[in-house]
Amino acid sequence: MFSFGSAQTRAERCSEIIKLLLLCIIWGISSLVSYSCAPTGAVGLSPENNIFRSEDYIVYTLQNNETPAELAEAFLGGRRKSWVIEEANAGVGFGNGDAIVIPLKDRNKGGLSAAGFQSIPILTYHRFAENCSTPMCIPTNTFELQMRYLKKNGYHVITAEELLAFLEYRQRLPQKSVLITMDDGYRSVYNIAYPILEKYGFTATLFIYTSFVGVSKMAITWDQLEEMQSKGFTIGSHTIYHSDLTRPKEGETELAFRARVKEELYGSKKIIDQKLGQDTYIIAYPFGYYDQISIQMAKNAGYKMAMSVKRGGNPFFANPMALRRDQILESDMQTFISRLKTFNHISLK
Amino acid sequence: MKHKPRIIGIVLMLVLAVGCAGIGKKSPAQLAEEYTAKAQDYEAQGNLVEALEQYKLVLTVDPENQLAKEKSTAIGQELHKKAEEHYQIGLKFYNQGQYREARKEFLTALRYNPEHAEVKDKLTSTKKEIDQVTRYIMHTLQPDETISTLADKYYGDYRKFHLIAEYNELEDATKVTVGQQIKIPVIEGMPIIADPAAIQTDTGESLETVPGKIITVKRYINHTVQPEETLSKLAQTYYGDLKKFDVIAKFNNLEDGVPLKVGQELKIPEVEGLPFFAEGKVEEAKMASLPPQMPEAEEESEKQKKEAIGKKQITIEDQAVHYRELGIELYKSKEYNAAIAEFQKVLNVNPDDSITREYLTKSHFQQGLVLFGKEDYLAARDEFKAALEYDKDCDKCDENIQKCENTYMEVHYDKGLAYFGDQKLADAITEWELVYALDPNYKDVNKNLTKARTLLERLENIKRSKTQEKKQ
Repeated sequence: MFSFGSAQTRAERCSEIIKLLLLCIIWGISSLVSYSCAPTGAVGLSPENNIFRSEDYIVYTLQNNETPAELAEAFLGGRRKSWVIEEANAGVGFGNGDAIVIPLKDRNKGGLSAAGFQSIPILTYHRFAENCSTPMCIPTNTFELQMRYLKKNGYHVITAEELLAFLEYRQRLPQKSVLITMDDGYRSVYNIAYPILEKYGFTATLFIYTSFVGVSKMAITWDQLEEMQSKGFTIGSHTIYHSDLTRPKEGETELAFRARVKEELYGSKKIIDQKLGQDTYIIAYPFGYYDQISIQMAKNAGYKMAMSVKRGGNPFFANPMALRRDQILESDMQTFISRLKTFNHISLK
Repeated sequence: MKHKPRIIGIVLMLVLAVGCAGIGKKSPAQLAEEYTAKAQDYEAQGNLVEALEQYKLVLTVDPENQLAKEKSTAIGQELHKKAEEHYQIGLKFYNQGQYREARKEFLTALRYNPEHAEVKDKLTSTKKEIDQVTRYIMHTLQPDETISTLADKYYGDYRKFHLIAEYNELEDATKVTVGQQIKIPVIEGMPIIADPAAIQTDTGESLETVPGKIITVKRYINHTVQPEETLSKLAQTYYGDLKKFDVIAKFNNLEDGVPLKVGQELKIPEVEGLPFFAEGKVEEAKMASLPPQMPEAEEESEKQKKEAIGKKQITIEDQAVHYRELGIELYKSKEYNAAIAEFQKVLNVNPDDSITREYLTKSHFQQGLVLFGKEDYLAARDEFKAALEYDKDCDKCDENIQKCENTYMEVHYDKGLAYFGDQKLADAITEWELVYALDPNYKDVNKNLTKARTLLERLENIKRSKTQEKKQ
């Protein structure tokens, strides 16, 4: 019995040892799993073996369902750059275990591909109202629908500063980039358009003619402009009096005409610079009219970009002092969508 | 106890089955393999730019990958070579005036080599120089004419056709139509064969005086360079001034410091404002060489014409209509100043728009009435004057101008009398001076002013003498 008992004890001992071994294995695996699954809290803190880095790229394996915005914040200096990661990983679901490509170099600053080149549409609005009777006024609900369309369809509303960097071949832009501009400085830009733009996280560039600011309840005020400026909106010049820069007025001498053009360009910049504490670098020619002299004078006055109302988009090699814009006049959605052409097809092989 | 191993087994299986992402993570070797496969696909399709990027990804996860290293170098070199080829083809197109084709080649070159500085400049800055030109000659294209023949006609050199093409923003200099208005840029310092009176600015006005930097050429003669001749010597011979060598240099497109060759053919221009010693050699300007093969101007189709007109008019009309209608709305809601701002914009586009002019008269007139009600008589008068400017027959404007001035003078004259009565001489003088400035003959204002000033002076003299007495 003893021997049997002793045999039993051995068997039990063996069983205990096996159990212990199994427990050790489970513990080991669990530790491994828990170590690699442990939430790190921040992208930058993930174990080094998740990151491969060269001078051109980072390849990062997702551990905590990190979003493109979080990766952009950690590796590209800001969430606004998340499009760089989204575009480089088109079709990737961004689930744990996915190897995400993060480009570190802006190689394609001109937005070129074998199929053609990028073009930036610039949309131009004037006035907004609940109900409109003229084509240059956009009803509130139409504007809301247009902005919703941009958001839902993945358009990036860029800033004037970003457009300038693109035109100077310094910085790439998202594939579906669009700039929103609003001319004249009507109060409805503040009352109607501004809240809608904010709702979608968009900004716009406003072109004001300074003699109109605060002139009546129809006009935007300097305080309102200052508020919008602080929210990332760009304020540009539309001259002082909105006069034609290309033709002398009735009875105006050549000399007086030149002096007027100069005052319109230099004077408005000075007023806006002082009122808003900025260096105004962008102008929209009144009526979109410009000629060689006004281009030259605008450059001399310190503007880096100038806008016309010639229809069409703007590739990186567009003349920054004669940019094209599409006036959003119609209220139907199809016309609006047709203005959002962000690519020119031409074989570049 | 019996169930224990089973439970442990189940737990282990669950852990393994559920696992986590860390376990599904791809190894560097797997990633390198994936990127290599993609790179090879791109290479097979001839998409070298994309292939190169995939090889760079291979080197990111596996820096020692020999294949990726070799391929990156080879593809990089291949792309540079291709970029250069496209750039050269682009230059050829560019020199033939086929800008659209040139642009396509330059863009392709830049795609292959994004840092190709010359290509980038060619695409972005070709228009900068010409942008600064503010004077031009308007030329209506005739049958048999091309942009090259125009360059020859105006610059004496067909090779300068690209200046005309760029200035007119032509996509393709070989495609022009009879009757097309072509602007010939007048570039400072570059001689142009033209009558100075034909030079215009963008405002559409001819300039009576042409600044010294504009060199207009009446005609030119041909000259074959002889031994020991230099540009300065030629300038001395033909213009009596050796410093004028640059006129010949620019007319012949000669670069600074490049010596002349014996037997070289030069064109010596006779320039407006400079003497010309040609001893009977002067002859009519003629083509020195044949321009490149460019198709002659074609007739523009009706459809093209309509399209061009349609495109231009939409914007202008839309804007003018908008501003006018908004102005009318504002006028109706008695926002006269804002309405005036809108109407002014319309007149900038269309100075003769009768409806706008009518509304401008009405807006200024109403604003005049508002200001009159606020007793701001001179500002009100200015509004009526403005109203009169847009409608010369506005009789009520004249009446109201008169009324404003009369009321203004009456009010200040009476105020003056009241101050005078209260012995406030200085205030009375101020009021009467306002009246006097407008009409020195108004009632007794002149007499009253003299009287008040004399009295004031006397009073001050008395005060002064009293002060002096006290001091003594």
